[in-house]
Amino acid sequence: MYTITALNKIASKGISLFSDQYAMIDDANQADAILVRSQDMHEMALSPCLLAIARAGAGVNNIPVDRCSSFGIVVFNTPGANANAVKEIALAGLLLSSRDIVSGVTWAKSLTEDIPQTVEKGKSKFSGSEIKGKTLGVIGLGAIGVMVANAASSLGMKVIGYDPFISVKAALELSRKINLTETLDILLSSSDYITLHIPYMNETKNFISGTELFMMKDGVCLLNFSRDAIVNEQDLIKALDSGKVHRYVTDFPNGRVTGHAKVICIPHLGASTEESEENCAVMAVEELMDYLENGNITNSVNYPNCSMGLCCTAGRISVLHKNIPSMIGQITSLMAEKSINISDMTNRSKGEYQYTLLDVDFPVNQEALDALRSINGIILVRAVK
Amino acid sequence: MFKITALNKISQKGMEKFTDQYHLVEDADEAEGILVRSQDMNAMACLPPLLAVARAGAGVNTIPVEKCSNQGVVVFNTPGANANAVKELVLTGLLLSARDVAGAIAWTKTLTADVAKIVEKQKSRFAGHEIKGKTLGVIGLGAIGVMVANAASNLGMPVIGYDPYMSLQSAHELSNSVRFCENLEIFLPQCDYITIHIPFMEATKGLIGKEQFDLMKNGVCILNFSRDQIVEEDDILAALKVGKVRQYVTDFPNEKFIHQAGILCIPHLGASTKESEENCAVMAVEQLMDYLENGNIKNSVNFPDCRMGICSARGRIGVLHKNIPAMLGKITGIMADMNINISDLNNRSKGEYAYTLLDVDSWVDAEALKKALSVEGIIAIRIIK
Repeated sequence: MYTITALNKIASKGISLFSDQYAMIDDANQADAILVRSQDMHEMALSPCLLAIARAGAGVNNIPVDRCSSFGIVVFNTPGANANAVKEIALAGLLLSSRDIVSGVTWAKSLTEDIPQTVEKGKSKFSGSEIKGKTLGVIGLGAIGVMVANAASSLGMKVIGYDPFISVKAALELSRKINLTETLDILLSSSDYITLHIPYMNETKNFISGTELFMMKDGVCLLNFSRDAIVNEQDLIKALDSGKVHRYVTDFPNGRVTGHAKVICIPHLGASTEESEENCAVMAVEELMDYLENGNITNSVNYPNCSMGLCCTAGRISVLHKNIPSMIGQITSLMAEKSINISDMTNRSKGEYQYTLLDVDFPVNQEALDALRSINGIILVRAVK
Repeated sequence: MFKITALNKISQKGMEKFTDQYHLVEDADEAEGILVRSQDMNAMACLPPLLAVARAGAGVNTIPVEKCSNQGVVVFNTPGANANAVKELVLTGLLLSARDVAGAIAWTKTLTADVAKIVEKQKSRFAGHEIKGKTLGVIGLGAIGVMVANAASNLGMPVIGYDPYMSLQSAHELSNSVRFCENLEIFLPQCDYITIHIPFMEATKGLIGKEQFDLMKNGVCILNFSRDQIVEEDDILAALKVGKVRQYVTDFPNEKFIHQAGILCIPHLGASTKESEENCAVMAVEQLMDYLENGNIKNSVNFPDCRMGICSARGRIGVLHKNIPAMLGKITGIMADMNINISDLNNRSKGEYAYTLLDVDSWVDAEALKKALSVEGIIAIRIIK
């Protein structure tokens, strides 16, 4: 029996996945695991029985991750759960940048009389272009970038993709119609529309600056559903004023860009759909259950991905420990010493931390577990089965 | 030499198709061919020498079609030329009805200080839905309906189509993943989104009214990019009021709709793209030229499609007539009496009207033939070559 506390309201599509092995409780201090969305957990005491925290969503800055790591609490998040939500809004942004529908709608709302006639007379100022036949450059081919590229291609656009770090999985999902380029210059100089789908980090700060903008076609439309700091907004505003960039669609409004006539500001709605919330809840619950029941880790931010499926042997032991020399040696020698045969073992590391999952042929007794716990560098030992 | 009048500005890409056999004139009364977009022609006489009116666009309610038919003036339109423009706007409408991105953008524009913070605090009121996995019903599977159905299917929507008069060409172009439904009563209750792509005529006036709304799911979104009168105005307002319809996206704003919550009014922008205008102009000019030079009819709204390519016989005669018994016998009989040998003949009918195109081996005395053929039911005779 596992006990779970939800600190925020979690979509019932997720909660309903818990089997009768699980009980929802109110007191977080009694819980084996916590589900959370935006609730700030920094001031919370973390009880010794807490094994995992699952964040239904991507950002974890409301969670004291370092403290969790040192206590052996695995923190999960749900990357990709909002990918389709972002894809659909990126498509909406693409269509809205090619035809000024938003201004058209606003203008229509301002009319008071003779509306059908006035519309016919004045509508031509909102005429635009079609996206079919135009070239879209997709920078970053992760889950979202690939979905956007494929969708645009199926709408008749020529699509060029750029991602020096593309994964095999993404490459497999990418439509064969999409041209991959290894040189950013080619993408920049041949695209009518450019959409950004790269993570924000030190290396991608100001990724699009004056030099990149200069290489782009005159009248290009730029879409940013990644993070504002990826685009150097000072350079961008110059490019908008000079006509180099026809339109900038951003999901990150701020004082610099909101007032600009050529900027379409969406109020950070990329992931704001009911389905995305449900997907996050489902993923968070599934990750939590897989960790509690099987010791498997998927999408943790502080411990490595490590999965051995369902345990088919007599027992499974999970060991969270520091990523320091001779840990595996000490764990395996101790098991040998106790005459416990290891049938399967997986060991993965992530930064300072490491995880070892062992399937054993005999149930492990308390004494052996305690002996493991006494090894220096071991954070948490759990008999999963 | 043919005289052409353009009543509206027609895209250059179309006009440049005219060879030096064509002469542009200002006075429409002198013209053999008229090009028109939205200019109302209902008060115009449409008398000889006028032979044809080509509408660069789809709707012909600005043209006195019946008068034209009776006076032997063939009216052309350009179905499909704006299909991609409408398709892209329908997709935009679909995405905007799932998430109120248009409202969100307008709201963001009103922010002046602390933009990023206010956005994060209040953006949740613009949260919405994704279209993936929702069922789209497409009423009318002509050029536009098929494109919309296929695109939505590519975006992960289950799509159902309804069209009792589907053409072979449409059937061929429709994606296999689109299910076809023959019964509107079975069709309507399945849809989360319904988009209408049928022509406006007596039979389709008020096609979607109270009876149909009653069959729909609660919270359905309706998109109307066809014509306002297809949806009963009072019934949709009532359906919005009780929450039966969550969102109505219309390309036809009027006084009743414009400030109604739940209605997104686009100012009739369906075909308003540069590409669509160019396609329409090119098609209109090509059809006009083919009729004037070769007597071929394609995409006429009042006379049947009837083509024999370029005439390689000695002469070609076009006869517009009523679709009544014994016409063909009379025409061929008179020709035989005049000793004119018919090498090829094509006869097609459309409703009350019919068209006979004859390639002949001998020289024809135009005046004598016209006189001989001035029998009841014949509307106009033209010696094309």
